[in-house]
Amino acid sequence: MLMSEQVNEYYDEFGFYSPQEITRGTRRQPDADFNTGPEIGETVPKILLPDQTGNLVNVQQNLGSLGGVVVFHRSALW
Amino acid sequence: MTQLVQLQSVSAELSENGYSLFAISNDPVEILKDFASKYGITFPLLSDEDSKVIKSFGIMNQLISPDEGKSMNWYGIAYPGTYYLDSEGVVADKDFHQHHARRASGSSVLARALGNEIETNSDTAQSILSDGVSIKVGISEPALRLEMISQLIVDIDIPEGMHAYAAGAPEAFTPISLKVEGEGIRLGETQWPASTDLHMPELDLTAPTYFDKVRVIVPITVTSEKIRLGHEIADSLQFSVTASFQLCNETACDLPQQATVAMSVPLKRLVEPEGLQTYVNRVEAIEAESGKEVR
Repeated sequence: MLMSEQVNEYYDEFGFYSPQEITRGTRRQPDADFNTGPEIGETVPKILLPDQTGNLVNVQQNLGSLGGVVVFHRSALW
Repeated sequence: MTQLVQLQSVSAELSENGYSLFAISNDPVEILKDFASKYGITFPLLSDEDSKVIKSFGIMNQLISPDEGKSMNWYGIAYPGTYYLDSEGVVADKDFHQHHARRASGSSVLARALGNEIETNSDTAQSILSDGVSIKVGISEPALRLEMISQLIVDIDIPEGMHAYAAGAPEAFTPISLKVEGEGIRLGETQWPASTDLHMPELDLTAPTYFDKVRVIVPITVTSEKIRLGHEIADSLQFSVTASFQLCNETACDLPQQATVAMSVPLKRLVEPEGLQTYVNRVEAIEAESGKEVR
C-alpha cells in the first residue's frame, strides 16, 4: 500500500501535497528572504567532498575553462 | 531524482561549452552510488553527509530540527538552489527556491549557464491571425513533471511593417500582455525581451516598441493539484495562453485585439515513484526494527 493511502493528505500554502503534516519542519518553508549563501561576485567556500565512487572531488580545482554549475538538491532519492 | 537525470542529459553540452557540473546533497555515498549506477549518472554527485559544505555556504535548512525525519536524513538538507561559478569559483549567477520540492529543469540550468535562449522541446500550438500575427506556444521540456520548473515559451511574430507596444507605452496604446490560464499550474515572473524606443514626432511621443519577433518566457510548474505523489496521473495538462496587443504601422493603429492559443502538454511522473516507495520501505523497516513509529 502506498504511503499516501495510509496517511492523511496535506496541502501546504504553496499548493504542494505531501504525505506529511504541514506543521513538521520538513514541510515548513523559509521566509521569502531566506539565506541563499554567497552572493553574486563573492567567492564560494572550498568544496572537497566524495563523489558517488568514493573519490574525493575538489570542485574549485575541477571547474571548466569558463566555470561550473553547482546544484544543491534535496536527495537522490527524492 | 528527476533533476539529476535531466542534468545528466545536459552535462555533455555544459562540458563542451566549458562548464563542469556538480550536484551536492547530504546523501551518503552509498545512496549516490546506487542512484548513479541505476540512472547512468556520470557527473559528480557529491556526498556532504555531515552537511559541512552546506553549512559553510550558510544554506542549511534551519526549519528542520535535529530529531526530525532522521530516517530520511532530513536534518542537514540545503535549501534547493544552483550556483553558476566562473572559472575562479566566484558566483556569476544563482537561483534558489523557497520550497524544498522545487527545482530547475535540466534545460533551464543549461540555458542559464550558457546565457542561451531557451529552446522549445515540446510539441507546439499556434494561432495565426488574419493580419499575419502569429502566436506560438511551446515548453522547454517535452513533458511537465511535478514541481519541476520548466519554461513556457511564447513566440509572437509581428508582420513586417507593423509593430506592437511594450509595457510602459503611453496610455493611449495597448501594450502586449499575456494571460496564462489553467488548473494545476503555477507561473513564475514573466520575462519580456528588451524593447526599442519608437519616437513619433507628430504625436511628440516615445513608446517602447516591439518589432518582428517577440519571445516571452514564463516559468511554469505543474502542481500537486494535478499530480499527487503515489497516485495515478492524467496523461496531459491543458491551459490557454491569451495575448492582448495592438498592432500599428507608421501611420495608423489597428484596434486592440486578443489571440488565444490552447495548449496541451503531456504529464510525466517524476523519476522517483521510488522516492516515495523508498520512504515507505525505510520507514517500515525502521519501525519493524525499533518497534516504534518513526514518521
